Amino acid sequence: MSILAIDTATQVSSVAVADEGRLLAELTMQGKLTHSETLLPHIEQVLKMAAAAKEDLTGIAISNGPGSFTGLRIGLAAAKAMSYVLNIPLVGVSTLQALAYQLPVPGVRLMCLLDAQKGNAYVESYRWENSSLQVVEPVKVAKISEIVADCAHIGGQVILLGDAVQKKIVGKMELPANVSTAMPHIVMPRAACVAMLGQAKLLAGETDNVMDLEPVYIRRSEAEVLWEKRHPEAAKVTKPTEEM
Amino acid sequence: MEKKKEELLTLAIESSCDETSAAVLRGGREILANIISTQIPIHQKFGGVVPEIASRKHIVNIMPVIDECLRTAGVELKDIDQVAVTYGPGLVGALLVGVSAAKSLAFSLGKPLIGVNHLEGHIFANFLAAPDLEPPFMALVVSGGHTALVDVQGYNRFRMMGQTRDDAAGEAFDKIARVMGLPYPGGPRIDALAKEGDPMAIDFPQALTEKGNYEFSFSGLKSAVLNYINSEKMKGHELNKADIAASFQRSVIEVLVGKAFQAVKEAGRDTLVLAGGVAANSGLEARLREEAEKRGVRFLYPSKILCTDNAAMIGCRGYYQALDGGYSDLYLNAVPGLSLTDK
Amino acid sequence: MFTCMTSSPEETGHLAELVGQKIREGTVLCLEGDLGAGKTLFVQSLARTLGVEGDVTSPTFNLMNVYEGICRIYHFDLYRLETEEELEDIGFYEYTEEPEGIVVIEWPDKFPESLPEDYIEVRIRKLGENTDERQIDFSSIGEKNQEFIKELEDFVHTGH
Repeated sequence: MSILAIDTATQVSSVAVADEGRLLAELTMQGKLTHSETLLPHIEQVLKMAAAAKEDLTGIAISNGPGSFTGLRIGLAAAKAMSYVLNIPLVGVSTLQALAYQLPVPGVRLMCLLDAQKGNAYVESYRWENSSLQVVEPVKVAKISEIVADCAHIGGQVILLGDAVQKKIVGKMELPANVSTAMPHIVMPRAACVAMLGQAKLLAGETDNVMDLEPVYIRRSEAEVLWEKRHPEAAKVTKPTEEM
Repeated sequence: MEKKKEELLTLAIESSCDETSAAVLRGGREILANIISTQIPIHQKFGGVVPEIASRKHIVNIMPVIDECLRTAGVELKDIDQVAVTYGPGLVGALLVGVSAAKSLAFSLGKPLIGVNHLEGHIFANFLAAPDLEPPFMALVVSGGHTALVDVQGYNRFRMMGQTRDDAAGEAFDKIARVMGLPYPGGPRIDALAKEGDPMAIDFPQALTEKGNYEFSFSGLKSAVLNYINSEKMKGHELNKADIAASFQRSVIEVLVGKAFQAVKEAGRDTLVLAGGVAANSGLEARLREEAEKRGVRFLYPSKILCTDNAAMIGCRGYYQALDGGYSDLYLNAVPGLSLTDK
Repeated sequence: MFTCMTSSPEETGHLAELVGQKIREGTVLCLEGDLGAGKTLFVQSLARTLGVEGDVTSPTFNLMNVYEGICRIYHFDLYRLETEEELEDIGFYEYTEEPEGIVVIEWPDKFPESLPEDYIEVRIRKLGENTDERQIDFSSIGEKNQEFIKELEDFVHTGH
């Protein structure tokens, strides 16, 4: 039971092949905006590295957002076509949740932030409990500076992951005492994480429909943005402190 | 046993602009299926809201369109011999969906990939519209972003007679329409308005009319029309939009028609084909037809479906390109600004 | 900020050449001007100077063109876009927030709030209806390009 996992939601382009107990091969690259050119060659390569024939794959897991619209579509289009031809199940996983698999460690709050432009990020926070990922605060779009500041109200250690961290926080923002940013080798998404999360879903029988699966866009609706523009003071009201 | 080339099945994908399309061709001319997303009730089948924006639509449409296409053609994936896809020109976000899907299909099927130029696709639509058509012939390509005269000497041999130096005809239509307060898309609106106006009312300039010059330049004409409109407004005159539309359209058409037939004569061709979306301008088609009759030149123009963006024309072009070894590798990228060049 | 006057398309093109000789990778250039002011001409000349050989035409229909020169040039035309969503959809922010190569934006005034923090603004103004004369203003928005604008001004006034 080996699956192919793909993550093209950020500037990182990553593919991996995993079976029940092992990560067989992974190819992860962070570079310029060139997903469109390299994704298929990388898929071909990672299958070779894993000594896996595409016909032997039993499923495909795709990191499905939020993230870069362009990157997400390139990955999803490739995943859908492959799933369709090989007639194997396809499962979309949250890019944010996959990131949390980088640090499956209890006792810390993980906050995953993906760039949503104009100083905003898609953010979701988690804890690992009994080897199971718990969502503490579900995904929303918020100003990065506010997300960081609000972390001070969280009791206990907070670790920040995601491309927004690398692009907008490290070296650019001051962090509250209980907050740290993940190191470069784990701060960005990886297909290995998508594979783990994907496998779990496939085993639980959760699959998506190749015909209508769409990326997860999550946008601040225009209405929200407009409201905040008209009520700048009200929009700044601090959110209630989170429970531990 | 290897298939005869006439039996080769090409699966083609086109997603350069607003519509997602997939087609299956047998050989270079036989259309087994040509599916365009608007034709099928995707949203009725699968629910959800129709996305407004092109790239969003494409990622939703791509698999249903391909699936419907194969069903309609009555072929199975394993029967497909090659995959052709538009890689440019067009909207980058839209192109990328088709290119990514096509690369993945080709890879998964273990079959060759052919990256096709959308503009060449438009030219080749004429091969589908007129099965007896064979090169050589002259082609006038008039699409939203391109205006060009191409001497099609062979299925894989083209000589560029000339193309636009600045604004394409379609862009000029669009911008003039905008200035006149007409909504997008401007082309059809001007076309409609022109019918009610006097084409001789205003004498707008036609650039680059020297003999032997097949280049097009519409930005001068665009400026002339803009200047005219502005000075009329400043004088407090009410704009006669129908006359402006008619006169402007006449200028554009006269240049296109004039150069097209000059080129036909110089290259010694007996056939002229019209290709591209803006070709849907009725005034242009009528004038070309009229002029062609006068000169005893055969004039061809694809049907409505084949004139708009569709995958069958991509499959046709892809087929002939492949015969010449024009395959692409898995690094194929979308090129939004791709244009026509000599081959 | 500084101003140049040109009296022909050739002069405008030459001015763009000078900009092309000095411009650095990672710069966003916003070109403002009415229909027919000469924006595309400016970009064409700039692109040629940067080693682009292929076609350089206004991406009114395609929204974005990419050219290969000594670096990549991303050429946007926001004319046709109506909503913020469409802008996001074409990956506009991804190209402009941390620009690689050079980014040129025509009709930036359609989405003033979506422009990056730092860019160079080039405004081309027609000095009358039936004239080739243009007034071209260069300014820097944001901190990053202040030095560059001064350098450019010196260079242009000696090279003009």
